[in-house]
Amino acid sequence: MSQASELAIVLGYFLVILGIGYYFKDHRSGEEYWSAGGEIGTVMNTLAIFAAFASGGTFLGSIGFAYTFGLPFGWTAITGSVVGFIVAAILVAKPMRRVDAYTITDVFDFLYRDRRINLLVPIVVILAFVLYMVAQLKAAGVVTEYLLGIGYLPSVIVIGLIFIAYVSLGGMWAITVTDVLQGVLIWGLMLVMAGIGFAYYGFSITAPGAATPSLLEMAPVHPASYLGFFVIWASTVAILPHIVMRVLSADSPKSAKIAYSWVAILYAVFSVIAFYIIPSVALSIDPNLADPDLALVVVMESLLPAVIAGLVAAAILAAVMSTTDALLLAMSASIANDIYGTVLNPDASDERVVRLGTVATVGVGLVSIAIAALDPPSVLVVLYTDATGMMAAAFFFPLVLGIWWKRTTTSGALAGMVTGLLSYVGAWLLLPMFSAILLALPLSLCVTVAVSLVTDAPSVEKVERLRDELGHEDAGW
Amino acid sequence: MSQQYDSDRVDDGTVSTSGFFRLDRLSAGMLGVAAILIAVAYAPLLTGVELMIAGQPWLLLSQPIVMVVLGTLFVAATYYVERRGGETA
Repeated sequence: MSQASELAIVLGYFLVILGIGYYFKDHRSGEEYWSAGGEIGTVMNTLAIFAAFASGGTFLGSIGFAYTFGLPFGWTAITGSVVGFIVAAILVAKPMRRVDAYTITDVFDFLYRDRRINLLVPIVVILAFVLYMVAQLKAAGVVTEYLLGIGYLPSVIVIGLIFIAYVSLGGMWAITVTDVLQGVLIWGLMLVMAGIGFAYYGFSITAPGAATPSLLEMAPVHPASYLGFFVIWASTVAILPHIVMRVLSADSPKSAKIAYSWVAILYAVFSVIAFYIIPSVALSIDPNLADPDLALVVVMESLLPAVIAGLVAAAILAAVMSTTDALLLAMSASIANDIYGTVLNPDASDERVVRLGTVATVGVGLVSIAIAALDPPSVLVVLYTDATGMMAAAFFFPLVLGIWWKRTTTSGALAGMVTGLLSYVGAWLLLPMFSAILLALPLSLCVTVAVSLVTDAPSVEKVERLRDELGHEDAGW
Repeated sequence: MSQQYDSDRVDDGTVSTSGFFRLDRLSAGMLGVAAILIAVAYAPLLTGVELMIAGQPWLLLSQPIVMVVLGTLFVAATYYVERRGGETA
């Protein structure tokens, strides 16, 4: 292995990313900074959503997860995600794109016009996304440490500072363009690794399973963990703020929906192939990895020449950064646009909100780097799945019912959110892995419905506003 | 006249404040297919018995099929509607 060539390739990639951020530094209006002016086309958005969703956690975490727990459990999250994109596209994405909004809090504000909800939503987003970001930063840290030998802490700091720089400079335009580049790199990585993996097994489709039978076995976990893992991802895609912001940046409701459909199939094909071959090769090379999250890196280092390994390293870092930059922008939007611009100072100028957003990007990024440096989590997928599960428990039914059930009231939505959030946290402490969602989500649904039914129905004017502005009267699909 | 909303209108031209906004039939069908495939894939888990087909766990065989079928149907439905000029079945 030549660390010099890998370092050169990775540094070159960082320079390109920073250059993109600098190029978009003048796109500073609120609409451009948070949602790229709603001008992102279908192909670009498909690649950007794919890259934002196929995170470092997906690459390292899911492959490591399949390496540890086997494919039947590992594929559960992927199946949930594919279903999640369909649910999100049909029930949320298209009506939501019609709303004049930048963030998921803006969407809740459109639905309920309630200060308490406007405050609660960004706080939950920030709490959950700090966990999510720490998982991504850990992925970046372990990869860079392993590949370049510069140590975990310096790796986290350097990569963290780079994404803080380009997100704060260029906002949504910068992360979309970089994510398109990263999406291409991620697909390239998958093709290279799958090809190498098949070659390793003499291009036999059945050989990987035969050589590593443990990969095909059911994990020794409670059945509720399987169902919970599926439900978390099936419900979470619709409410993930960094994916929601992609919908709001699409150039039309139709474009948003087409992009979701392509991401669903790309993600399915990608995961079926990559998560079968790569963990199998890793198990074959070393069945006793101390850190299963390094399974992909071990395969790469064992089978690829240094120059290709450098490109692959850049692609892994691309996967990490394409998610992390979107998370970072979503969190700074939560602070600047949602808490400050919507709740604390609704009269603040656009320019002031964006300026605060830039400061928030730096602040939140530094806090996340500090947490990742202090206490790296041990299992990536568990950490970010729990974080997203908490958001799904709180937001899914208040959002979906608010869009589709005319009787949903503000009190019902608020009660459903609080119930989903608290019951998820409580159940998380007591129930088997990933199964808290199986209690929290139905509770949130029941409470949202029950409280809505016992409080005054929304006015006719409100229902007409929802019908008109969400496009419920427009024909179909 | 919208096929989605006209049944929700009342005589005075306003709207009912109860019930659901209606989904078009294709979207409802897509969600229905997804629900059926999910049930087929995961229902055996609820029995507590590990279902094996040809010596392999049912989840290993069923999940990739569910993923790819749903993804393909979703893209196909989207472009089917696109070719028909945005109308739904």
